[in-house]
Amino acid sequence: MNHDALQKRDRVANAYLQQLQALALEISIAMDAIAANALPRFQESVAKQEMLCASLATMANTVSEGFRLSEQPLLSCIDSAVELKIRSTSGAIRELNLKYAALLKHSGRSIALLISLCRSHTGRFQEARGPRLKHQTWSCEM
Amino acid sequence: MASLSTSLLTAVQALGADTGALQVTNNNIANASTPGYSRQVAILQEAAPTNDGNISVGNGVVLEGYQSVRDELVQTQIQQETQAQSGANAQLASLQQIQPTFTTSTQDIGTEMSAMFSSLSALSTNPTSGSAGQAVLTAGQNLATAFNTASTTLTSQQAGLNTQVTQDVNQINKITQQIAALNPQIADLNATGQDGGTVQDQQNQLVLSLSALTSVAVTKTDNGDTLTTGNGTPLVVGSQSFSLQTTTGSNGMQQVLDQNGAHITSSLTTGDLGGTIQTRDQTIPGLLNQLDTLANQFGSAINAAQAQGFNQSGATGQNFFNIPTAVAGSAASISVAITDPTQIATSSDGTAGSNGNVANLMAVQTNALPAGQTPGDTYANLVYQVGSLTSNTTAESGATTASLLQLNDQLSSVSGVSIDEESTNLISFQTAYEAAARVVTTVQALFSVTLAMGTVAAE
Repeated sequence: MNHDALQKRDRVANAYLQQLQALALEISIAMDAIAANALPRFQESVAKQEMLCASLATMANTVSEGFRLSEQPLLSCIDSAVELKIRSTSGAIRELNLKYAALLKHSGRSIALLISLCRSHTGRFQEARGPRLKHQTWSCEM
Repeated sequence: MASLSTSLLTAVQALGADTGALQVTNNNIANASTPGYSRQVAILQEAAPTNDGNISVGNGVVLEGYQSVRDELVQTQIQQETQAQSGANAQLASLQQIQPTFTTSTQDIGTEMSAMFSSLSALSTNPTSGSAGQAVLTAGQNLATAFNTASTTLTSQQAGLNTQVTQDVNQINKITQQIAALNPQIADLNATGQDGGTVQDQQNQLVLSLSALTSVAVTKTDNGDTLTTGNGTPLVVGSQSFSLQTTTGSNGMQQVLDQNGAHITSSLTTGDLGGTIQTRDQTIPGLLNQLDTLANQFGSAINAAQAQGFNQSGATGQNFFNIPTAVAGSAASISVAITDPTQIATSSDGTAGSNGNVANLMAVQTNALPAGQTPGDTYANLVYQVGSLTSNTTAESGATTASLLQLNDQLSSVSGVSIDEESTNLISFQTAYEAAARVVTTVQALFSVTLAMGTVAAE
């Protein structure tokens, strides 16, 4: 593996690390947005996550392709400090992703129930008789 | 990697905050149709950041609490308009029952008065006719009955309104007790920096119910709402409510007293109680007085004309109508005094065939009464007054209803729950969650790829 190829691979590895950190940050932003019911912020974050995931997949393939073509042992080909950070960040993202998935599952279920509540609200009112009795009720099906 | 480790903590906080925010949405939807419910919002606050050297890292959001969205100014305007509307409606309900009595249809005073003069005209052509004389007596009796009926209608209405005063006062006392009971709860919530929430909504609804009954001034304090009547009589202070009382006045009507026994009846001008008192003590007595005056003066005029002539026996004409000396109660008690048609003083000279005095009896129709107008015009004026009062009150009721509708719309736009809006937001969230779930799957796959980065070439 020539020097240029190694440099390129290291550049990609560093960029990969940065993208991983950016993804972690976006997941964190998305969770904040869910908590705050801030829909536009959440949608924007999800779009960024999609973009980052696509970018990361492409980069991973580039790095792996470089390894395949390399005549030297792989682990010595990447700066060990960067590699360690990549592995550490990936591990943290995995854990974060699990929390994120749990949050989405919980909130998704709540949202589904509320949508059902809204959908079943037909605005049926029952008004009691009498000049000052104005008790109103409505029913819904869940 | 401070941002990653703190992100993990953020997830837990986000879960709690999200649950709180959704709970608010749930509560809003469930209470979309609850009268008086104010839309709530979750108060989310950014958690204190973690400082890593010169870098400050955010720690997500925490749920501080809930707050109801209210517009106190609109709420106050609604209370005032409710007082005006209830007052107008109370008056209108009575006037609508009184109005049919004062019309120009059959059997009303005006018609019976005309019928009496028509029968006198017929008697003039044949003063010795028994049937013509009887027709005059019957017409006179019908007129007296019309006066009696009109008076009874007014006094019955007045009696009904008198009962309503007691009922309103009882209702006011019940509501002020409920409001006072809620004040400590609101004070406790305020003391801990929390919003009054549904307790405040309940109290606002009770204040609105109270406003429908009487004029109320609301002062917000740390101990909850302080309520007084329009003239400053305390109704609720903190957890204590002050009951109003009723007592029978010298006129037989229920008078309203404050907790110290002071009379406040005349100061109650709006709300159902104010409208009821206004109609009972002002409108109806005014109409009754005019009716009594008309009955008394008309009866006196006919009696005076009778006294100028002679009956079929040649004797001086006696009273045609029985009327009391005092004006008050004349309409209720007026009746025909004679039962024999020959007692009608048709003769001006004492001879049986004379009709000279019928002209004097007929002149009552065209001569002005002491009040200044002819009997017909006096009655027409009374009819006009009742019609005008009813019309004005209807207009006032309509205007306050329209105003209330507008204010309620205004309040709903601030405090109301829009199911459509909530629903649209929820569906948008659902779509975004689905997109996010796909990212989660991608990230999981990405983790495998990342690990594989080192293993492919190592083999």
